[in-house]
Parts: sequence; C-alpha cells; structure tokens
Amino acid sequence: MFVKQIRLSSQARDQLIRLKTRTGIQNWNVLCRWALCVSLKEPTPPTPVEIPADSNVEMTWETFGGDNYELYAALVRERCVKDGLEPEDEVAATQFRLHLHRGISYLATPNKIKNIGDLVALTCETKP
Amino acid sequence: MILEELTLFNFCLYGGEQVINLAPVRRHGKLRPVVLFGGINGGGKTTILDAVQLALYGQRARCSKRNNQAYDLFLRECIHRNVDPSDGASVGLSFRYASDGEEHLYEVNRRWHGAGATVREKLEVYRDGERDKWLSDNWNTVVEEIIPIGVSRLFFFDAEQIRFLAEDSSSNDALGTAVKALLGLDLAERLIADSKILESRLVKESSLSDGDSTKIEELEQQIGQRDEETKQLKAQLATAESERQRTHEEVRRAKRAFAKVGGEHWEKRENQQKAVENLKVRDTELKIKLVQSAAGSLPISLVRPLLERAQQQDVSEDQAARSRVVHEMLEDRDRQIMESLSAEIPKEQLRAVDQILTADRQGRLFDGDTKPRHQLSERARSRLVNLLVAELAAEQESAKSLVEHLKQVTHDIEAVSRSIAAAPEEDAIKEVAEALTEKAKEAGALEDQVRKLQKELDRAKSERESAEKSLESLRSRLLKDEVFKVEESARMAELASKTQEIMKQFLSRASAAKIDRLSSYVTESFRFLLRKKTLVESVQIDPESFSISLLASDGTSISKERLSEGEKQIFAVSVLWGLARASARPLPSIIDTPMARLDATHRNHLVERYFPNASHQVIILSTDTEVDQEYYETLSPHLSHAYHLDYNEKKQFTEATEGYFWEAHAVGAGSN
Repeated sequence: MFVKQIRLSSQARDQLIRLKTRTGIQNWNVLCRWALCVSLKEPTPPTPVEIPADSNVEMTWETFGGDNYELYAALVRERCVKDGLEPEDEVAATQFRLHLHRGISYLATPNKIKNIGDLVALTCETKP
Repeated sequence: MILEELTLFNFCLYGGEQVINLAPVRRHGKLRPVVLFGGINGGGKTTILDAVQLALYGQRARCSKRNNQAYDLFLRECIHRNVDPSDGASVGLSFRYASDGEEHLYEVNRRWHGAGATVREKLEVYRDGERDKWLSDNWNTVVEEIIPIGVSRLFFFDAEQIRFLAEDSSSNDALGTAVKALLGLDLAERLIADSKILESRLVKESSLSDGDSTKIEELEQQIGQRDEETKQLKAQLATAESERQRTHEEVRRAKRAFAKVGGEHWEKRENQQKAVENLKVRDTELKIKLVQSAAGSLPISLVRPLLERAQQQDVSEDQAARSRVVHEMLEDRDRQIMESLSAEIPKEQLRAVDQILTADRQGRLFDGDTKPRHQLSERARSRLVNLLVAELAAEQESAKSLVEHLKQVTHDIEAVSRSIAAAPEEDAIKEVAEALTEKAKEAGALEDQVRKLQKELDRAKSERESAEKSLESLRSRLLKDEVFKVEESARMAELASKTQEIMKQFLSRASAAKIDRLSSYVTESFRFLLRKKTLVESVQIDPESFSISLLASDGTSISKERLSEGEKQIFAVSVLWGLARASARPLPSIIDTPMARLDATHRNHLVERYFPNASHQVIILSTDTEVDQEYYETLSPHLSHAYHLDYNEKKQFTEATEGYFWEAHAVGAGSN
C-alpha cells in the first residue's frame, strides 16, 4: 500500500467529531471512507495544499479500508490516472490525503449532513 | 248543553254591560254550529274563554291571566281599568242543559266588587228564570255534574296550550282523569271507594277484639304513612327531575365551551404524545440500521465509475501478466529450436527462421505496455467483482428504502408535533375541563338520585298495596266472622264487598272497551286531519297508564317528540276530538287561537273538516290571519253568526259587535 498510517489534520478531526454527533456514526474510519468517496466523486481534482498531520487521530490503511482496503487504494490510483497523474505510490499517497481532507470538509459543510439519513441519501442520487 | 248568552259587565277589557249571543242558529232546517269571534292580538278573545270558565267554576277556573295569583287579587284585576273597584264587575252565562229527560235554562251570574282591601264575590243561579237558592249554594257540586272541570279543559281550550297532550308523559295523569270522567268510569271508581268506606265503617261499628282493631288501626296507619311518603317522594322526584334537566343543559353548555377552547385537541394530545413516542422509537431504530449500512461498502457506490475502471485495468493487468508468461515460455522454446537448428541448417536460413519466430512472439505479446497498477490479490479481485455484480446495488436499494422510511417517520413526527402544539396549554383549558367534569359528575349524581327516588317510590307504592291487601282480607275475614251478630250489618257488609268485586271487574272491562273505542276515534281524527296520511297507522292508549303512543304502519312506535310543532297541535286536537266523540256528551267546544302554528294544508283540514264537525256548538276565537277571508268563505255554510272584538281607543274598552273583521253586520244573529 502506498500509505501505511493515516494521521488526520486537527481541523479534519474537529470536523469529524461534529459529524460523529450528527450522524451517530462512532467510528473514524467509516466517516473517512465516506469522505474519500465523496471527494473522489467530485469531477475537479483537489487543490494541492499542505495538510498538516497535527491531530492524534491515526489509523492503519487496513483499519481505514476494512474488507475493501485494496479496492480503496485502487480507486485512488484510478482517480490519479483520470486526472492525468502517474499512479505512483508517492503521487497516490498525496492525492489520497488531499481527497480525504477535502471530503471531510465537504461533509462538514453546515446544514449539508444533519443526520445519518442525509449521509446515506447521498448514495440515492447515483445510479446503482 | 248549549251555551246561550254571555253577559260581561266591566270585565277586563270589556267596559259597561255587553251581551254576547252564543247560541248557534238553524237556517233552512240545518244547524249552523260555528260561532266565530274575530279579534286582533290583545283584543279580548281569550277574555271570552276566561269569562265562560270563570262564570262556571269561579275560584277553580284556569284563567289565562291568573297564573298563581290569589283569587281575590285576580278578581280585583279583572274589574275594568277605568271603573271604580267598588262598582264591581260581573260575568253571566246562560245555557240549556238537559238532565233526567228535561231541558232547563240555567243562568249563572257571578258578581264581585272591591270593598276596601277585600273583594266580595256573589254567585246567583237561576233555573228557568227563577232564582234557585239551593243551586246557588251548591253550584260547585252541581257544575261537576253538568260539566266537570277536568272535562271542561278538553272542550274549552287554548290551542296553543293543549300541545301538552302531545308532549310529556306528565300529561297522562290529567288525561287519565279527564278520560275517566268523560267515559263515566269515575262513577265505578267512586262506587268502589264508597263501598270500602261503608265496609270499614261496618267493621268499626261492630265489636271487635282488641287485637283486630289494633291490627286494623296499624294497617290504616301504614297506608296513611305510605300515602304521605308517596306524596313527599313525588315532590322530591319532581324537584330532582327538574334539577337533572337543568344540569343536563349545563353539561351541554360546558361541552360547547370545552370544544370552543380546543378541548378536543387537548383530549387527543395524550394519544398524540404516545404516537410521537412510538414514532421516535421507530426513528431511532431506523437510524441504527442506517449507521450499520453506512459502515458497509455503501460509500463505494458513490464512485462506481472509478471502480469499473479499476476492474478494466485489473483485467488488462491480468491479461498482460499472463501474456508475459507465455512470451517467456516461447522465448525459451525458440532458443532451444535455434540451438538445435544451428548445427543442421545454413546460417542464412537460420536467421530467416529466427526472424519468423521473433515476429510471431512479438505478435502474441498482449498490451506489452501495460504496467501493473493495482496488483490485486485474488481476494480483493473477487470482492471487486461481487461489489459490481450485486452487492453495491443491493446495499443502495436497502439504503434507499431506509432513507425513505426515515423521511416518512420524520414527517409524521413533525405533523403530530404541530397538532400537539396547536392544542391549548393545560393551564388554559384546565378550568374549562374541570368545569365540564364537575358538571358531568353533578349530572351523574342527580341521575342516580332520580333513580333512587323512583325506586323508593315504587317500594312505597307496593308497600301501600300490600298493606291495603292485608287490610282488605282482614276486613272480609272479620265481616264473615261471628263478630257480625247483627244480620242487617252482615248483609250490608256482604253486599259492599260484592259490589267492590263486581265494580272492579266492570271497571277493567269497561275501561278496556271504552279505551279501545277512544283509540280508534283518536286514530280516525288524527288521520283525517293530518297531511301525511301514511305517517301514523294507529294511536294507542294504554288503559292503565293512559299514555298515548303512535304506531307506524309497520307496527313500530313513533316517538311523540318526532312530531313537528304543527303536527303536535294537530295531534292534540285529534285527541280532544276523539275524546268528545267517545264521550257522547253533547258539550259545546270553545277553541281559542286555533291555527297559530299550522301550515296551509293543516289549516285547511281544521277549517274544512274539524270546525264544522267538532260539536253541535263550536265557538272559535280567531285572529284575522287565522280565519282569513278565504277560510271565512269556507266556513260560512256552517257559520251561525260572528262577532268582531274591537278595541275602541276613545272609550278605552273592547266592544263586541256583530260581524267579522271585514263583514260588519253581514251575518246577523238570529236573522233566520
């Protein structure tokens, strides 16, 4: 895997804490998966910015991805290719971090996700 | 009986002396029974009715303006306003009445004048023109023979006030008395009562043992006590009954007030709060399920296109890897072939073969450029396929239904909460709700009380009956006993008890027969007068309780309350008519304000069918809108003569002049 350990920014951590109370989801990793996918779904590539790893929230890639951990890596690499980037480990790791944090901010937008229903309803918009 | 003349002197609205001829005339050999009085409201119509009753019954007369006034006060007020009370007033009535095969002319004159604080009343009765002292002194008894006061109510009536016959059950007693008197049943009852008195006197006169006489005294005392008790209970019951009606009305009012402040919302609130609680439980359950489904592969469905691309890439990678293996194997084999051939064929040919083999290998190399990107494990690959083939779609489907369900529940919670919010605050409604509960409680208590009193009344009645029975059996035993040494007493006693027995039988049979006849007369009259021919099939009168019930053609009973006001009046008239016909007593009818509430059809029926046939003498007191021009025409073949009661503003009294509103002097009395 191109990332072994994931450590969130403290801003992302605060946003996730809010999301936890709103959605009732207790696990960081579950919310992180949603954040990643929400960002990957966006047509525009994330803006490359420096994201500090200044929080105490940390998890392994396997914890992050659960049963589908390899597939989440594949999704990130595919997105790199789509955005015209070399899907090398280093590039993929950076993109992953950008997508994850962008997704967290997106979900934490005020009034976007008020409860678990709003979160799950995001999947109703895409065709199965 | 035929009323001949009514003389009014300074009576109420009528100033001076006015003589009114009431006797119907014959014309061309045919009796014209109707005497018509026309007067506007306050013109003195009802005064005519009052005067007849007052002349006959004096203190006992039910005059319209008396109410509960003391008799002398009433008399004083009946003296014409502009006359000195000491001059006094009088009413006189002369009538023909036949008894024992002889017809006599009776004249009753009732005079009174105010003397200081008191009123002096004097009654004089003349028979065939001669003053009769005995009749004058005993008039109250005599008049009961001629036309009992209970019966007079059924012949001299205000049509507005007879509706009681069609209304409550309390009219049964009044009707019962009248029916008995009219049908002659009261005679039998009186005979029974008299023979009882005789019996008890005989028992008392005879020498009784101390034990028996005390026993009799005890029983008589018991009966007296029960009678007293019954009287008190009846009074209590009447009070409780009216109280109960009042509280019922109050309960209704409280209910209206309660509804007005939103009480029903408030009552529903508890249920709604429960509903909200249930919905909230459901809400929590759904959210737990959603959290669970969010923890699965669901987010990946957001990026399904990327996943599909990853799968294509993976397939290509796999194929590339496999073709590389094939390529390597071919290279090995070709190298071996070249090595074997190098010893046997020339170098030029060998180069040509090498070229062919190399080209062949290049051609077989699939997508040689594909670099391995994902290098998925077998497990990850099968997950990928599973997700795309089924899992994502299934998870999305169930997520969707959960989300919709949650939306519905949230919506319901909001709706019910809004309704709860619309309910008034407990404080606001508390007072009204408490008032309602209080009133309902009160009404319930009164209901209980009425039931209790009714029970006690029944008990008192049955106790009285049993006491009376034991008294009777004791008496008859004593009468048979040897106590009666005196033969004469014994014979009388025996006769008395036999009389009672027979009269009781007679009474029950005669009642049944007469009531039957009465029922059929009333039915006939009612169906004759009523517009809706099919409404009532028959009218039944209970011979015991005298309660009247209406039966429809299918045998079901129709509540009297269901009749309209007009129909009630028609019904009451029918009952009276039926009674008059059943009694076969030739009594005149006086009908005051007969048609106030009736519609055109019922008015027609009264005018065409009832008035000409009600009696041999029908005195109608009408306003100009009741018997109007058209009805006047209709009535005229039956009309004897008419009077117009006109209030003269100048003289300040009402004058009765012959004629009708628009037909002064057209029909003269006695002009046959």
